[in-house]
Amino acid sequence: MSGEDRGLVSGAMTKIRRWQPFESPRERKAFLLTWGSVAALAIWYFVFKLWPFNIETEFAYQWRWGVIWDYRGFLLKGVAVTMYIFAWSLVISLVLGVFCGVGRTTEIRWVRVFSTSYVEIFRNIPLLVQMWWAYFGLQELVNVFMNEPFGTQVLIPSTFACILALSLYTGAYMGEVVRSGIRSIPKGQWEASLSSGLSRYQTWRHIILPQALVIVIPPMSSQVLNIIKNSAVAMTIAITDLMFYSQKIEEETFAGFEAYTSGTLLFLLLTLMTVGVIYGGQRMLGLKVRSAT
Amino acid sequence: MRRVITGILSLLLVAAFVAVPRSHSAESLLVKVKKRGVLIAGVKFDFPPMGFIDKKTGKSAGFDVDLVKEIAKKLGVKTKFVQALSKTRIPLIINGNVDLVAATMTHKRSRDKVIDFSMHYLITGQRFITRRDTGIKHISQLAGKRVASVQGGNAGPNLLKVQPKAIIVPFQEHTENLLALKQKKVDAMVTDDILLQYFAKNNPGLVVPGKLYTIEPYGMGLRENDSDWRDFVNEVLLELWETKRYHAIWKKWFGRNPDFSLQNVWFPK
Repeated sequence: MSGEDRGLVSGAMTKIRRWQPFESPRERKAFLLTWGSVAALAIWYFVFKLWPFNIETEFAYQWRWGVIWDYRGFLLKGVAVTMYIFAWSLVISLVLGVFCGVGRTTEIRWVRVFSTSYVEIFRNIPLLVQMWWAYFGLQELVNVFMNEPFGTQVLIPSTFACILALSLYTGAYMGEVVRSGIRSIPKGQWEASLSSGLSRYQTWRHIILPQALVIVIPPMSSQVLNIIKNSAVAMTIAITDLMFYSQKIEEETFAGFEAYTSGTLLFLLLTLMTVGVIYGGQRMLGLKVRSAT
Repeated sequence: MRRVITGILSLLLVAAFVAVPRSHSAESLLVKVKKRGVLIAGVKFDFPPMGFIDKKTGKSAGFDVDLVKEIAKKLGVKTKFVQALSKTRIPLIINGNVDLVAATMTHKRSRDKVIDFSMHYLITGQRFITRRDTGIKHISQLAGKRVASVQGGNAGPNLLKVQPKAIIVPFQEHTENLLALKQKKVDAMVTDDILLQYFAKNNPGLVVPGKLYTIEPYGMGLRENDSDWRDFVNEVLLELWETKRYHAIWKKWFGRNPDFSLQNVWFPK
C-alpha cells in the first residue's frame, strides 16, 4: 500500500490523539457557565429545598417526586424495551436506507423503479397507520391465507410488527437522505473514475459511497433520533415501552406531571446520548461539528 | 458570553411565569356552567351501550350520555361531549377540561383521593369474554394465557389479583381488544359485564363464561372539593330515580328493568 493510500482510518487515528471535547476556549467557557448554573439551581432546589417563588395553582397541586423513585423499576423496563426496538430498527433501516439511496440513482431500471415505489409508499403513509397495518392488517392476511387453510398458528408478535413498520418508515426517509448525498458528488468524479478504468461497482465502493455516506451524517443523525421518538407510537399496539410505563405510573399514583416529566427526561437522555455518540463519531473521522469546513 | 447571559435570563423569565401565583377560584362549577351555557362532559366513545358514537347521527349516544343530558336539562344548558378514554378521564377532570365525567368509571378509594364522585348510579362487575374455541370456562384456566384489557381501566389489575398468572396485554380502546381477541392474538378479554353482554350478543363466536370477579359501582367523576356541584348532581340522579325516569332510560338501552335498586344507596329528602 502506498503512502497516499492510507485513507480514512489512519487520518482518523492521528486526529484521535489530538482529540479535544471543545473547539475553542470560548465554547468551553460558555458550556461550563450554562450547565454549571443549571446544576447549581437544581442542587439549590432539590438539596436545600428552597424555591424563591411562591407556586400556587388552582388545585393546590402537591409535588410528589418521591413516587418516581419508587417506580424506577417501571421506567427502567420501559427504557429497555425502547432500546431494544431502537437497536433493531436502526440496523434494518440503515441497511434499507443505503440500498434504497443507491437503488434510486442506479442505471438499472427495474431497481430504480422498485426503490422509488418503496420510498414513495412508505414515506407518505403515517407511521401509526403502518404500525396498525403491520399488527392487525397483516394478521388478517396471515389468518386468511395461512392459518385457516393450513391450520397453522402463526401469530405476529407486536414487537415484530413495530420493528417492521418503524424500519420500513425510517428506511424510506433514510433512502432519500442517502440519495441526496450521492447526488451531491460532482459528476466529474464519475467520469474520472470510469475513464481511469474502474468498473461501476468499484466506483461505487471506493469513490462515491465513502464520500456520500460521510456527507450525509448530519441529516442521517436526525433520522436516527426520529427512530427513538417515533417508537413512542408503539404503545398503541400493546408494546410496554417507556411511554407506556410513564402512563402507567400516572394511572397508579395520579402524579401526572412527575410521571410524564420523568418519561420525557429519560427520552431526552436517550436521544442526547445518541447525539453524543454521533458527534463523537464525526470528530473521530476528523470532521468538525460546529464549523462550515 | 452575551448569549449565555441571554439564555439564563430567558430561563428565569420562564420560571417566573410558571411561579406567578394565580388567584384561587372559589367559584363552584354549578355557577360556572350556568354562566357558560354549555355542560362539557367526558364520555366513552367505544363502550356501547353506555357511551358510543351512533352510526346514523354521528353523535354521542348511550346510557351515560342520556344521564348527562338530563343533568344539563335541569341546569338549562346545552351539552358538549368529549371523548374520555379510561386513562384520560381522571386527568380531564383534574385539569378542568371537562365539568364531569360519565364514562363507566368505578368509584375506587384511590381515585377518590384526587377527584370526587357522585353517588353510584349503576352497579355491575367484571368478567372475561373468550372465543368459543378456546374452551376456557373458569378463571383458573386463564393461567399463562394472554388477556386483553384497556390501559388505565382496573379490569387488568383486578384480574391479576384473582389470577396472578395471567398475562395482561394492554390496548387503548375496547375495539382493539375485540379485534385482537377475534384474530387469536389474545385468548380472552376482561372488562365490565355490561359491555361483555353487548359484545357477546353481537358476535356469535364469543362466550362469557364464569362469574363476576369484582363488583363495580359506577359514579360520575367530579372536581375535588366542589360540594355545591356534587350536591346538585346527586339531587338530579335521585330525582331521576324517584320519578322513574331512570327506569325509562334503563329500559331504552338494556331492554329490561334495572336489576338493582338505587334505593339501597340513596338518601331520603
